[in-house]
Amino acid sequence: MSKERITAGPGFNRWLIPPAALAVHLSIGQAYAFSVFNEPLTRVIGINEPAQGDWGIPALGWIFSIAIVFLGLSAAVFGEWVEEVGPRKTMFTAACCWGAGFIVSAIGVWTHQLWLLYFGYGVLGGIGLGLGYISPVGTLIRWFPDRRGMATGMAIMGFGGGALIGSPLGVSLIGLFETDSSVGVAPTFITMGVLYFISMCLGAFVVRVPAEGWKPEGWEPPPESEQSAMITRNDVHVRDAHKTPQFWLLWVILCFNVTAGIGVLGQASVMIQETFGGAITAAAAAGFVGLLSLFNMVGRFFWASTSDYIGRKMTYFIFFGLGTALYALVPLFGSGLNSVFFFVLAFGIILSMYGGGFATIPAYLADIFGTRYVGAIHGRLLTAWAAAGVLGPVLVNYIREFQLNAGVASADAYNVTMFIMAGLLVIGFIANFLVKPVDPKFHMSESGEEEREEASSTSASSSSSKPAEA
Amino acid sequence: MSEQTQRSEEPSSSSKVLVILFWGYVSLPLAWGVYETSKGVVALFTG
Repeated sequence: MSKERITAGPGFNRWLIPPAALAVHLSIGQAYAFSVFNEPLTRVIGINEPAQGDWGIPALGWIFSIAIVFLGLSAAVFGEWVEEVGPRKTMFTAACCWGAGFIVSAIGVWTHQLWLLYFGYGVLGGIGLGLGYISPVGTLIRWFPDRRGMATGMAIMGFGGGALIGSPLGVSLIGLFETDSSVGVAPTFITMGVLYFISMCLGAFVVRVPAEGWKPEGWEPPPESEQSAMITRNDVHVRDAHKTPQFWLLWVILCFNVTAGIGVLGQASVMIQETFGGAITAAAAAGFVGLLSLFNMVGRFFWASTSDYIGRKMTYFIFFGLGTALYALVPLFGSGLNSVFFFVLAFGIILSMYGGGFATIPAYLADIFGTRYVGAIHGRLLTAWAAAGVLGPVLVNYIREFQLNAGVASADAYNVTMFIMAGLLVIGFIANFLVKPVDPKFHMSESGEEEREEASSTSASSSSSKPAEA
Repeated sequence: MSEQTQRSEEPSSSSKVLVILFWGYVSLPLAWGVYETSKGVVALFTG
């Protein structure tokens, strides 16, 4: 399972890598569909309706939040380990954590111990999410140096698509397992845990890393004189990346792009119903949420692939420029023109760029910091996602409450939020404008790397020898 | 010698079959998920 033993031999087909990555991302993408379990989990004791002692929605809401926090933490903390051990061991570890998270959660439902769901799905599952999310990124970039954006876009599209599978699968399994004495969630967790474990393991056992110096047949890197200055041929060590302004500019870019989308995703159903009064039913609003999920998924592949042709910087200029214009126009489309079509179209494009932001950032990182530690650097950058996960919903929900309490009509309650989101995207635009190539003093050299390894082995041996000295 | 190396670097027919199978394995559930979601989206346009 070690990195050395999974180096591809001659004749290995690199097109096996994207589906291997998809097998992992489609599995962990289920996280976005966890809400389908919330309602049944509120009546584990009462079965038909919530009874005394049953869990409430606010307490259950923490399960998803803990999982996302541990996604960000594990991606940041274990990123370097992921680069060290390679994708197979990481994917297998992610499969174990993700599968075990479901099993522990099932035990939590059976014994009615909420902390077991926090620990199972939240902590164990969250670690599985973080490891699974970053595990194929570096490998894909190395297999597709000619189309970095498309390759990572395909994998990260799987994370968006995972919810589209996880939601109907969860609902179908609950329907299959529910009885007069059970809401059916525990056996659903067991089934999904086993299915996802097997699927992720298949991905893990198919994945390979390219041999040192491997290039796609017939492809040569463009001459340095013809290549964009924004694509480096050098590498920056993960331990140095956060010392560069480029890392923090990209952190702001990801954070604000995600903030703008994530708040809308969480509140989409209520928002469209309130904006158009009684014209939109609950079923139609659910359809709106589904449509946004489709735009989110397709945008990941479309924008990341497009970035291979127009460049990462230009792609983010489009996200922030077009996004700002659309957010500023939403109040006009909604309460102004009362046009459901333009309202839905605007949010569809916004959500495609939200997904596109996630999918294009690994290639942007590879362009700026090189491919050597791109997986680990990507892991650290995902802390921006965790921050946006708090900032986005807070902005949308609290400003709406404030507006309603101030006597603003519910159809206009989101207008201020939309202008604030547009403002965040303007900051993102400026941050993107400021991204320049990394100062060469941060570039790794063969000798520098050796020195670093020597230094770390010296410190390791000196620390391991301390007990003996004592 | 170089010709032999080049030929061995071309993907074998068995690996092409494996690629098709594995792409099918991930595409089918995704297509099902998209179909299920699309059924709900229809409600947005039909009320």
